[in-house]
Amino acid sequence: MAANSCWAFGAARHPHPRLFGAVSAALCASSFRAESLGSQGLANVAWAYAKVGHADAALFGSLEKAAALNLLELLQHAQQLSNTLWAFAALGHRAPALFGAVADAATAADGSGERLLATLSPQAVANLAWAYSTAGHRADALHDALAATAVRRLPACRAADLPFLLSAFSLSAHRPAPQLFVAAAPLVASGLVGGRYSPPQVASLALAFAAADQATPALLEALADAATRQAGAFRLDAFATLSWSFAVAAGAHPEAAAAGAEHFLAAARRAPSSFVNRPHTQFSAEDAEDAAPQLARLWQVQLWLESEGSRQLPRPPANRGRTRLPTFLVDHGRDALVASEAAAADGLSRRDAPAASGGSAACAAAAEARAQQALREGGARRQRLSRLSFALHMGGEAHSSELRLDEGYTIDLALEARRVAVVVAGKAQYDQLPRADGTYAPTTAARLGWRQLGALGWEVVLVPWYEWDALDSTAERRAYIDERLLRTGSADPEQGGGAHAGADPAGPAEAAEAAEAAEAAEAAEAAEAAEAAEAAEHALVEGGEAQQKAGLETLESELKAARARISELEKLVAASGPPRER
Amino acid sequence: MRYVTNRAREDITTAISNSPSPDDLLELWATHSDQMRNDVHLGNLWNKMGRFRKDIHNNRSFLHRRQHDLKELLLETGAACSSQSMDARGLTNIVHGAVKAGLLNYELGRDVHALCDAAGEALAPLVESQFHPQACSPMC
Repeated sequence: MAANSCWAFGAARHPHPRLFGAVSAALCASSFRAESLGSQGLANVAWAYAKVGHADAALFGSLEKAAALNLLELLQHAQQLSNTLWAFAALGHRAPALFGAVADAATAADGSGERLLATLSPQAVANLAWAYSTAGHRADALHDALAATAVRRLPACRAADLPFLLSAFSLSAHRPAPQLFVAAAPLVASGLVGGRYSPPQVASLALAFAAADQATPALLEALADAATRQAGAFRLDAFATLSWSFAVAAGAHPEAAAAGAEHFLAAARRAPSSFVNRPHTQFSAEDAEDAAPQLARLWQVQLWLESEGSRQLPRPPANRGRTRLPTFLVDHGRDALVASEAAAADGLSRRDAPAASGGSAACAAAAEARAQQALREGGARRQRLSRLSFALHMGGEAHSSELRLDEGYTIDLALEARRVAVVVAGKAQYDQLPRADGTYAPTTAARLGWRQLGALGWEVVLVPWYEWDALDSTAERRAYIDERLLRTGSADPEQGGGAHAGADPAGPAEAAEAAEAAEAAEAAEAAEAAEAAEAAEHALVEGGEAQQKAGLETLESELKAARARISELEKLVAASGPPRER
Repeated sequence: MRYVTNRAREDITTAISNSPSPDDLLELWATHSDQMRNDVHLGNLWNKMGRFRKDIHNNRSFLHRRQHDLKELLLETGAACSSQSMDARGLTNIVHGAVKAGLLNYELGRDVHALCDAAGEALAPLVESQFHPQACSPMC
């Protein structure tokens, strides 16, 4: 009964904190036998809590035990199994033992694994793929088996199954499944031509293909045509997602993406019912706050169309100077990107976090845990920035910290004279799980941001967190950044070189103004000590033989003192933030 | 509420169970609503309505034709949840059936949410004070 009640409220997406709190208390009571829920009850309760975003660590701990006790039954009911794991992942409740047991069972070599996979519907395959990626639980064999199952199931897939199925696999950047996208592309194209997708589904498909780097010019054209036919029905979310997907896909197919976006945006502006034609006065500050992520994406679309996109599709003179998107969206969008960059600087993730409804102590605890995590990431980021700034000073590289560009982006450390943007890429900018070679795949948003910095004339030098945090000493850090800067000029920022598309050698004058103001006192003090150390080192090298003999002891003493000072400062830097993550 | 004999109650329950279509359920409500404002009949009625999900989904004209009646049924069910003492099973059947019937996606979505609020407010204290997990677990 509790499970049915929960299911109903979950299906209605109707949070009721008091009722859900009462059910949690009942199911967590010591007298309750968790296994008596059965796999159906377990799945219904977990699914409902996830649907209304009611995070409750105690309840999910209890459900985890129930799942372990009901595992055999759960494994025989594919939908219940996939819904349960989906719910655990959606609420961010880590259950490695449960996820591991399911992965082992689904890949068992005795034939039971294949039998289990054979019972999975496309929706269940998508739920499981999404759950493992979102939970950050590495299960490569399962992931490959799910991708192969998805390919086999494609002919039986309903059109409505494909958007979520492909979205789920587009998330696993650490283990891409290109064969699934290649096999699905003709089905998707046929569904688009047949008008079988709603605006949110078109947007979801576009994002899945773009994020997985599997969009083709033909598919982009089909997406644009399908979207154009129903342009007036796109609401802000789908509108922003689709346009942004074209911007992402432009990295691989600039002409097709620009043509598709222009086609769609023009149709939206012509459609009287389109939301882009609503009077700007109806778009309040509250609307803008609620829609900040979508607006930030639209601003990135605007930047793309006016920079990279305009090179593909020069505009007729009559339209030059006019924005492709309504001014009110563009203005709010820039503010939203600035706010998003500021939040990222504080350590807040750019990734979508599972929402939790307010109201119960459990929800408050979940929100507090996320805030603490953000704080830790923010501290780690500040420490990385500080140490990197120090290393640059030691290498004699003049730079500004956190340079905000007019376009809304913030450059972590800007070597303005050389137009080099050193980007300290934190965990939020990468997939949770490493690739087979130990590196991490950047998120779609991060890739677009770095590409756009390149288009704005900056050469991007990436400093991934997993490389930087592995460096143990100042000398190693200095050697690392020196080597990265030496490599500037190569095309791929991920390989250490910079993206430098359409660089404007003159650069914005405003960049220089922000430079000195952004310098941290800590870094300046560290630089002073570094200069002393360097002076001592230079003196050792440049001094004549006689001088070396005469003042060797003195110089060595100065060098030792300077190094000790550097070490002290490093300790201070380390003490100023929370412990390192690794 | 009118006095209802056990026989009349059983007749209504049977009539709900035997209703062949959502239209018939609404007719039944229109005729006997005075006797049906209780947890058993409303629970049964909504449970049956939920079973007609496919018919409702496949027949858009039903929603258009009977929107007013459905709205009234939702409102009166919500009022009954708020004003009467209903048992947890009846409340659960009501919410489960109203959601399962697929009315959320249409213009009645707001009324379904109002019903969820009313039923949730009635259900929460029951769970808090009377819910015996061991006793209820077989029903989950």
